[in-house]
Amino acid sequence: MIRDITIGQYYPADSILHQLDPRVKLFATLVYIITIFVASTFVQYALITLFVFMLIRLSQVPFKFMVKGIKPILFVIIFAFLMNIFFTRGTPIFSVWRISIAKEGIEMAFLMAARLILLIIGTSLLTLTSSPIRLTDGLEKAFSPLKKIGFPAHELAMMMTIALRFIPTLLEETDKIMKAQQARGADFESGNIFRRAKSLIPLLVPLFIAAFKRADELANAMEARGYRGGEGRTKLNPLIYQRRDYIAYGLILLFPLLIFGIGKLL
Amino acid sequence: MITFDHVSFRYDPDQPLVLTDISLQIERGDFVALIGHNGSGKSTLAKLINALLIPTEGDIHVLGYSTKEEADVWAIRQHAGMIFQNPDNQIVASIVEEDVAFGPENLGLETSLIRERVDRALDGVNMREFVTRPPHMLSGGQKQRIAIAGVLAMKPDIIIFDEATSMLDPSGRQEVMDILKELNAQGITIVLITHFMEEALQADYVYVMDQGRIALSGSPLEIFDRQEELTAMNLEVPEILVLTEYLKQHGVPLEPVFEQADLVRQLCQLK
Repeated sequence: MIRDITIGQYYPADSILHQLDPRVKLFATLVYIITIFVASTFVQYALITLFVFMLIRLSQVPFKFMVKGIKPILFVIIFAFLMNIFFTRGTPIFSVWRISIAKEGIEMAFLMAARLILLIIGTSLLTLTSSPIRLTDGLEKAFSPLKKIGFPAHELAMMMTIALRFIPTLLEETDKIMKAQQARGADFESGNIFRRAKSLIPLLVPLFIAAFKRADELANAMEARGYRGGEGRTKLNPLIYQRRDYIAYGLILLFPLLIFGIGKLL
Repeated sequence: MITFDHVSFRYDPDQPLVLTDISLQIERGDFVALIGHNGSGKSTLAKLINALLIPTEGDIHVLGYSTKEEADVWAIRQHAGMIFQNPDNQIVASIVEEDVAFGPENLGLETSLIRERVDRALDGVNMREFVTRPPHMLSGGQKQRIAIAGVLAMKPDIIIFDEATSMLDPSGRQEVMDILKELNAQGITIVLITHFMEEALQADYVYVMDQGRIALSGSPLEIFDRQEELTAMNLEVPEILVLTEYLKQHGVPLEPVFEQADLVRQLCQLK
């Protein structure tokens, strides 16, 4: 059923990672991404991998949820892997006809693949352990200093909240319109790609009209409930840093030092 | 509490008037129903009350505030809550408690106060157990109850139901009507806009709208006594009234009734 689609990929559990303030996790993700891109030796990658596995254990999220994230970009990983193998110059160790494979190429290919996989797994930990609401709240707070230079932090967060709220509603509506059109003989499944794209028109037009109508009514309802932008608004569940969040910030800053420090020693 | 003083309204300067010369007065604690067929202007009238629309001519005062005064608009919206027709299109957040908190958050209340209001509002509509549910998993009647809770959390004096039951199934409609009557008993002024005559029967006072004017007004008894006029305005008279009227014309002495049980009692007591 189209109704069962989960939004984002939040995995509800009660781990220390789930309890952390979303801003901490956003910062951690940023540091993590930078570390991955700066890291360049196998030892460093091994350390990062070890570290990520520790976090996954801590998060109580089953490992298969991480792998799920990799599937859609498997093609990109393989492509990058092959490109690096064939197109990196260096000392050849193997050559057939005009294709030669260099030692550096193989190294590079593995590093690249490791980099991409670690990137996906690490960042999906963020969305797996933070509910969409907490994440939007975190983003709003994290970007709110930029409000001074006109960055619409609250507006963007509100848009995300509304989008999250209406994804299931619109999916349900799509389902309904599709069935209504199929009942009148519309065919969404056969024909080549152009015909199929064209057959989507009777689906998209009513969907868009309905969505605009919804937006209009929602705007009315929001105004009727006293909404007038982010200024002076308070929160039911405000983000407040706990002791564990400060400790986490410290550990996050230690992380790159540790990776590069140990990496150098070995 | 709510006064309309010769109010006219049009959406666009080159369009005809949607409402013409409306004057009415609603007192504190009243339960008023506004009925009329589609396009009679009843929903427009609702939106005028809490300043979503501003009258083209005439003045509207809500609790002494004029809806034309921009500075007072937010006070009006806090005191006069509104429930709309489509339950889906008035729920903002993807968690029930977050949605109920939306109004108080806009008022800038303290976190602890918001929590208290959310809990009390959800108790008021018997939806406490759904606190952390996503609204799209709820039934239409339940969604509409959440919307009512969202308005209750603003501590309103007036609640306007703008065809709030028209998209619900009979049981959902009953849920909403029960809560509505309970709120009225607690002293909240209710303005019920509807095209279900059965719902209007439960009000203290009824206004019948036709072509942007108030065609009839009075107690439900007075209104529904004028069956021919109502039919002329494309309004369906509740079956129970049609039946009583028919019996009366055929010589059965009956007092006017709204409830089936009352009619049965009267019929059984005939000699």
